[in-house]
Amino acid sequence: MKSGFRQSMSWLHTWGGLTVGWVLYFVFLTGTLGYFDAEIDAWMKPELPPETANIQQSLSTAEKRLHEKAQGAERWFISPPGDRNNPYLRVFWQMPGADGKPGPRVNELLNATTGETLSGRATGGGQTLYRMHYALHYMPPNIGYWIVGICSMFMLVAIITGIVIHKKIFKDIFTFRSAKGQRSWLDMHNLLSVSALPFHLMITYSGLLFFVLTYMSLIVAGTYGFGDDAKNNFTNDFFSEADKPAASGNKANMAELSAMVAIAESHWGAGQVRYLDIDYPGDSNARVTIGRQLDSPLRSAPELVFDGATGELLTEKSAITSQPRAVYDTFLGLHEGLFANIGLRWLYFFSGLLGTAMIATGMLLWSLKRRPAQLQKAGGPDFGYRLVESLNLGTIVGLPIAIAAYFWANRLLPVDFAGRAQWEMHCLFIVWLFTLLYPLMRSINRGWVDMLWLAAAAFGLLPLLNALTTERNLFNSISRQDWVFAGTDLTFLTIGIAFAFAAWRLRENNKTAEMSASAASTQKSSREIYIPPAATTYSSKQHTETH
Amino acid sequence: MKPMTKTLPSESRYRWQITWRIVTAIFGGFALANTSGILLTYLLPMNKIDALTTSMLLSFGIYAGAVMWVFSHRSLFKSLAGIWIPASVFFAIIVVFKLIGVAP
Amino acid sequence: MLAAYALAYCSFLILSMAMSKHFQQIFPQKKMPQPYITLVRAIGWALLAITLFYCSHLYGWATGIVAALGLMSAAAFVLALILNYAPRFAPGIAAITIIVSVF
Repeated sequence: MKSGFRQSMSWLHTWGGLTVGWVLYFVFLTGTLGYFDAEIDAWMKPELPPETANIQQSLSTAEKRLHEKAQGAERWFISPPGDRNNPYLRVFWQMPGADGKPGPRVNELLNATTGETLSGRATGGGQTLYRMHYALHYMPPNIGYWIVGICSMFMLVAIITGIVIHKKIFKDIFTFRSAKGQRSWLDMHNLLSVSALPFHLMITYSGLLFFVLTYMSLIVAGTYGFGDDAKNNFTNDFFSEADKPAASGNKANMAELSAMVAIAESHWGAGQVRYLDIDYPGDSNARVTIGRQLDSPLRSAPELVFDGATGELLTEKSAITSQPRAVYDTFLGLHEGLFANIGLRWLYFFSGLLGTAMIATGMLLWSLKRRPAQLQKAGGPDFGYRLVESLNLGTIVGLPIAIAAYFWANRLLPVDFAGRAQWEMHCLFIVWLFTLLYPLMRSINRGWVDMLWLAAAAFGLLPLLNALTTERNLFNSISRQDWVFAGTDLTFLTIGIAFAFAAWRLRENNKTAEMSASAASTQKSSREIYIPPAATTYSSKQHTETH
Repeated sequence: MKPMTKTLPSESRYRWQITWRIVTAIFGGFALANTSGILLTYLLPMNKIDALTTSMLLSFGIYAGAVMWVFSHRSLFKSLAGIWIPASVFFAIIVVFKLIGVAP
Repeated sequence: MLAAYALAYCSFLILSMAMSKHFQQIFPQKKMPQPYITLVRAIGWALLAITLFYCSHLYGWATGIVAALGLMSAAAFVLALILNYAPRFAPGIAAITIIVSVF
């Protein structure tokens, strides 16, 4: 297309990236927060005490509830509390459906000690925030999947073309030169991309794999054909469900679940039971499948299958059924990081932030490159250019502000307010809309400084808000060694400080730029020269040291 | 390079080129990823579901490769033909396989 | 995990010292003698391999590789920032990281 291969790929990287950059930024940022979804859940329901019940107690509570509410269900599911991913006892059941349609499904969180359903304030929590990164919001999930999927495909192409066009990918791997204007931004973009390249590739590719059955459904149809029967056959093969017997229709008493759990724990060790999946409870053909905790990226875990009526151990299923399936499951597991301990979880979070920043710097580079030429234009910058510039500011800084607004809404909306969980999310999007409009009313340099200060306040004051509205302030949390709460507060504070630092640096830069511009204004009219935050005044020191 | 300095006809020709390429990259790439995926499922020496999983795993790579192909060649014809011709051929083979009963 | 991070940081630091532009940043007055460059680079790669083995030892193979790659990303990013803002402290920071990770 262009004269050389590299130039063509560079064109594709630039324009492909720009087209979907804002959606990708949204996806990466909300997805990154998803690595701490359970912690955010906890912070957003400050009334709930941590669960301490053991597995036997949790089991009897769950069984009692399910017998009470879900007699005759097709399926029960119990996930006992204990680890980070399941802080509370969760039960799920599905009633039989009529004429081919699936019946109603119910999910409940229970207090394992008292058996009450967990109350606490209504909130979207970390889950709703995390869910947006693949299903978006205010639209049917299927449309969200497709939009995110198309953008992810762009991302995959952008990463590969990015590798192709980066001439000195190994030579420049540790290279970042500050205070060099556009050069610094390119350095930073490269550094962010290359240092976490394995993560970027893995997260984009595995993100696509999550919905491969949606995106590439034609490949499935090519082998299995179209229609409901084909779909069922495929599902049976793919999820290896064919060996499950159907319900017999004869009633039978359930064998003791606790005995089955005891057998599972003797196989795997205490605390290793992740879930109990019960097909046709109360039927003579009932099957109880017990799954093990995840301890590696492989997303499937070994399972033990019991006869639900007799309690007899029928089969031990290994985690790996076939090589291609193991590759698929490993990528999904790598994406979700459910196996990650706290240290690894922070690394995931950090890598996610690097990815988010990579997208942000990429979009900024597009506008910085064109800025000098645009400022020279007789009638002022083009509409398209101004739009990109405003969207950049309104998204890169605006979205974090909007997410902070989500947390503010969680503490400030009245606890008994009916549409509370929905309104938390409405607050996020209303604030985001304002931050998208704000750059249109202010000069872009001022806009950046203002919004960075706003973001600093929005995050930095969250611990204070938490202290004013709940009993669980930072000092209490630390003295009670409640690290989920203390960690969340401290993270908010750190983000606030980082934004304040960026705001302060940018303001200093703007001042210097204005001074040098007014000094040179004898010939030209003094248009502000925009010097982005990374271009700093360390240069003089740097020069004496390096030369 | 510099489209600014070129005359208007070549500017509009450039736009048409880009449009064709984008359409081919998105839809042609998708068609190629799917047809080659189906064909791979038939040809891979594994059981049905493993072959299917493998070709689904590979399909995004094929798609990404196709997109890069479309934008990497100077000649518009070469870029477009390199996608649509194999996609059509693969589709024809799939249909033939189905008709003679080789494919499931 | 901090010890593994220290290892990753040190391997990248040593690898960067094998590159003349970064060596000059860290030791402005000195010059790396040519024959040593290959040796230094080999030590850097060996240390990187040790990081991988150490992570696998800590968490098992599958999780160990993930942890090692994550730590290497973080270490490379941090090192690049240090080389820009405070290049002379790069070896000192390595020493501090090692000491902290031991205790």
